Amino acid sequence: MLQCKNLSLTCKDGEHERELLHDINLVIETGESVVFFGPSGSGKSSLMYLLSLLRVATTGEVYLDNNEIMSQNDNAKAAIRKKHFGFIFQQYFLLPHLNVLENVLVPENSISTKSKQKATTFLEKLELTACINKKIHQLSGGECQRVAIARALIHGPTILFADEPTAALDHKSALSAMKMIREHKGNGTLILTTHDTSILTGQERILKLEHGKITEIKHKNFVQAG
Amino acid sequence: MKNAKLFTALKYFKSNTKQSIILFSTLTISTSCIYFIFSIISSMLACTKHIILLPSEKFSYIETNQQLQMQDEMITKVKAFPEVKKTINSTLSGICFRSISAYLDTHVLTIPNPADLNYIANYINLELSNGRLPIEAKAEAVFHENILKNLNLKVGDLITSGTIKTPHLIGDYKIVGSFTGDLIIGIASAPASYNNNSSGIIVIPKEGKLNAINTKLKSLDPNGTRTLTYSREKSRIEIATSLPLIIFKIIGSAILITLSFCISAFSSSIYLKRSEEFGIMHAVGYDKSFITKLIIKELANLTCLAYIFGCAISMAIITIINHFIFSPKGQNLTILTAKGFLGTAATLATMFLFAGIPILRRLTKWNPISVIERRN
Ligand SMILES: Nc1ncnc2c1ncn2[C@@H]1O[C@H](COP(=O)(O)OP(=O)(O)OP(=O)(O)O)[C@@H](O)[C@H]1O
Ligand SMILES: [Mg+2]
Repeated sequence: MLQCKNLSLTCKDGEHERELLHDINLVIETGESVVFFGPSGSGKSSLMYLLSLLRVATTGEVYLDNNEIMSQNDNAKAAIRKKHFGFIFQQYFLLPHLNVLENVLVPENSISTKSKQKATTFLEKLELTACINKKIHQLSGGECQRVAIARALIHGPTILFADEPTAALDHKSALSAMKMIREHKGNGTLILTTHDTSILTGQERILKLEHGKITEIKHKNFVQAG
Repeated sequence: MKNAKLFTALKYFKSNTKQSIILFSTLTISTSCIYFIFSIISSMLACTKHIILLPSEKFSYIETNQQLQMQDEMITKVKAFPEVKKTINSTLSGICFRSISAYLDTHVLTIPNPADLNYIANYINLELSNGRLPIEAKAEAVFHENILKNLNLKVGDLITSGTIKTPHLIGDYKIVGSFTGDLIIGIASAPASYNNNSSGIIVIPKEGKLNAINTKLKSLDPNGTRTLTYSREKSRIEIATSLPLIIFKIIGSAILITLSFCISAFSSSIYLKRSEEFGIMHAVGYDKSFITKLIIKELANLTCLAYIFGCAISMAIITIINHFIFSPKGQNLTILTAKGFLGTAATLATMFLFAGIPILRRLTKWNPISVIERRN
């Protein structure tokens, strides 16, 4: 279970301070699929960063299985990310000096035959077999995104954060990427942001983020709104 | 291959060949410059020490002013010291030697008695490389090979006193031979009539008694007495080398500081550009100590490689310079020097710290997402 209490985030906006997220309370049960939905700039990515311990909130707490984790030290947080979290970044954030296969192996820090085999299978499923030995700068945006997906899944995270994981993909690849993400989620938790409602199955819990606040939306309303 | 790691110390450099070659060659060239500087300074000291200090480790010398009576008295006194193995009538003068740092006065011992001259030649393990030893009743001289090379003289030449090269030489001599060995000196004969005119005596100590003798020599009436002892020669070295050494040290330090600064700035700029990479690693779950260790390992590996290659290159260059420039002049740059290795290692370690500290300091203040989104 991932939970946040009274989460607020203020940012410097030139001279002013802007409250990006205001007093957010949220409980995400293990196994749930949650979608953050909202206009561009509403703070979806920022909220994901807070929940995944990549940023520190101005106020508030984050709990993982009832343990407060946001106030822990950097190394402890890194350990939690390594053990429990996978993150597909909106901007991919791949390592430019490594090739595709090596990027996928980053969370494992291993180039053993076994790890390589596992990574290769992931890349095959994402139709990246031809790119395995390419450098990142030789890839298209969609290919980068798929490499990022493979990297986030390889170590079998219990909570997967996927920030616009299909934004750079065509409809067909988007669907197959989402299929793979769901497959690997298993009993784990998926936390997603997207603008593309067509990749959703209808089983997700949808949370709308606007003006720094979260409102839960029933699926029907959401479809109407979308 | 079973437990092979993805992030190894040289992984980044293997994947960024161009950048690595630039960084590595800069480091290597700097290393060889540093080694060269240390080698020159230590060669300079070694050369001076060799020429000035070595003779006084073998024997001492004492002379008085010209009053014969006093001299006789003194000689009798010295001969009576229990630590004295032998005394030899001799006149000590000098000849110029242009060393790397300064003009040094090397010793020329004029010994009228041929038996004494042979004794000294044996005592200092002189090995003739050319010609023969001086013979009685003639003003002849043998010099260490290096002196002849240095002054551009050869066996058969006549060497006269009072020239630019021989301001302190007493008497004119025909050069009849050259020798090799530890002591860079000259040994000359003189007409037999000079025997009693020698201005001083060479004092050869019994095994291990040099210090004791020197203390006694010093306590003899110091007025009008000139002694050549180890400690006096040591202070002569200080005088001969202090100024050039200061200049060398200033120039050397300036070069070292500039080099270290450039290298540190250069490598830390490469590393700061890699902040994003480290940020991503941190975001994916590598803790800061892992990243810190990786950076230290990378820098250490690079520095060690540069150290080995840099020193090797420098030694090769010194060998070449020695062969073509110094050796023909009877001088030698020391190729393998502990000072060179240690000094270079210390400088590199300093660079390593200067390059590493800002990177690691920045790392501790990190918040991964602001690093990778470049919002710092
Ligand atoms: N460190 C920061 N300093 C200043 N402003 C920030 C910072 N981080 C985020 N912001 C601002 O906060 C707002 C929300 O950003 P965020 O990336 O969370 O939006 P988003 O909902 O993910 O948008 P999109 O749908 O376009 O990805 C943006 O206006 C952004 O400029
Ligand atoms: Mg976003």
